[in-house]
Amino acid sequence: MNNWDFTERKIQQRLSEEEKIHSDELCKNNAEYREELEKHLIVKKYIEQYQTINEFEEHYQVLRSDEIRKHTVKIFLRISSIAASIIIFLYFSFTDVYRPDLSLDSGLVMQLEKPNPIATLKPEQKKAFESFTAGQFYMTNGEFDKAILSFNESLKITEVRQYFREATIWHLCIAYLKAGKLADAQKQMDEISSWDAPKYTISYIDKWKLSWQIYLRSLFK
Amino acid sequence: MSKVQLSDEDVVRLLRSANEADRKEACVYLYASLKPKAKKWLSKYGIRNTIFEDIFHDAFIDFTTQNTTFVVRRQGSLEAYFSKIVYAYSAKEYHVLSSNVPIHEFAEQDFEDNDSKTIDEIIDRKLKIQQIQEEMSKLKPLEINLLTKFYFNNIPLVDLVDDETLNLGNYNNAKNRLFEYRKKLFRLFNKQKNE
Repeated sequence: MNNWDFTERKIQQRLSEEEKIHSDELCKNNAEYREELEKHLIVKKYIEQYQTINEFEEHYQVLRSDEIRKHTVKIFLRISSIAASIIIFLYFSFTDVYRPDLSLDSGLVMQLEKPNPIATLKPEQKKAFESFTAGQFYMTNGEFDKAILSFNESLKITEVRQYFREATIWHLCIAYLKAGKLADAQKQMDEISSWDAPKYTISYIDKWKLSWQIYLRSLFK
Repeated sequence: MSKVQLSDEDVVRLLRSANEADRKEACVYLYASLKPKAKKWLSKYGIRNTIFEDIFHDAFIDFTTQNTTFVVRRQGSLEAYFSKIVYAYSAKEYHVLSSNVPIHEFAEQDFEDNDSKTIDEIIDRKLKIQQIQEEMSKLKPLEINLLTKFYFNNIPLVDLVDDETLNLGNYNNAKNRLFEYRKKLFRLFNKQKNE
């Protein structure tokens, strides 16, 4: 190799137009130059092919990894939503319905804006209060038929605060459900749903839960 | 994934562009547009999951690394040509298609003649890709690095001397190393060719 600089520039395609002509002439006339150049150009071709393959392989792997990542996220979301649906289903179907706390002060039955311990209860109001607390006691003991009787007894007295009446109906509805009297439970539920401005606050979740449990049990009755 | 519609001419131009970003764009486009189609073609024959991924990978690398200008020049469709590559790999390389599945049933639009010569050429190309990767893997990273910078990136040897990653020392040493690595690579490919 007499002129490496020239050969190098030929390999790297940095020759001027004049030099290119000179290189072509050398190829024709100088076998040593031609053979050496050919070896370099063959290697150059291999390296170029190798680099091209590597580059597209790299692009492919990035795209594939991205696809796998998206697929994994999709599967994760699908499994999570299935798990969440199962949890929600179990929660709505099998957990107890909440009975909001209420002060068991007998004054809450009176037809006044707020309970007033000084005011005296009428005998009927006293009976309504006693029936309600008895119903609660039976509910706690799992004696739902007795609880139903007590709540119904309490509801017969109409001269009571709206708050107390609504609490009794809610408890009665739950007692019907527990006792398996689904038609009666549904009837009470319809009434609860019709209240425009209830005083006894029941959350929407509890209302949905109770409605769902009535529906679910009616499916398997 | 890219939702822009590119013509076959645009895809070929991007694939052969000197700009790497263009080549990447072509890859993203082809991957998004060809993969669902390839999945559809092969699922007809029950080819799914890992085998499908292997076939698609090989076909994709083959398709993107070769100069497909001729397809456009002959007014063929890149998609049909790609389906032929997929078919060739499925039938000949992976033995997952019965040899009596006619190409015209496989390719939505046939590209050229249906003779098996084209299929064999496709398989030869795959073997060549494998051979290049195999032979290059016998070189050390430093050797590949020098050869790549000189032959692919066209960096003059005098500048490569200053490249600390190559640790060439001086110009003469750099030249000797280049010739040594070139000979080694040349020998590897010649040996493979003669086998």
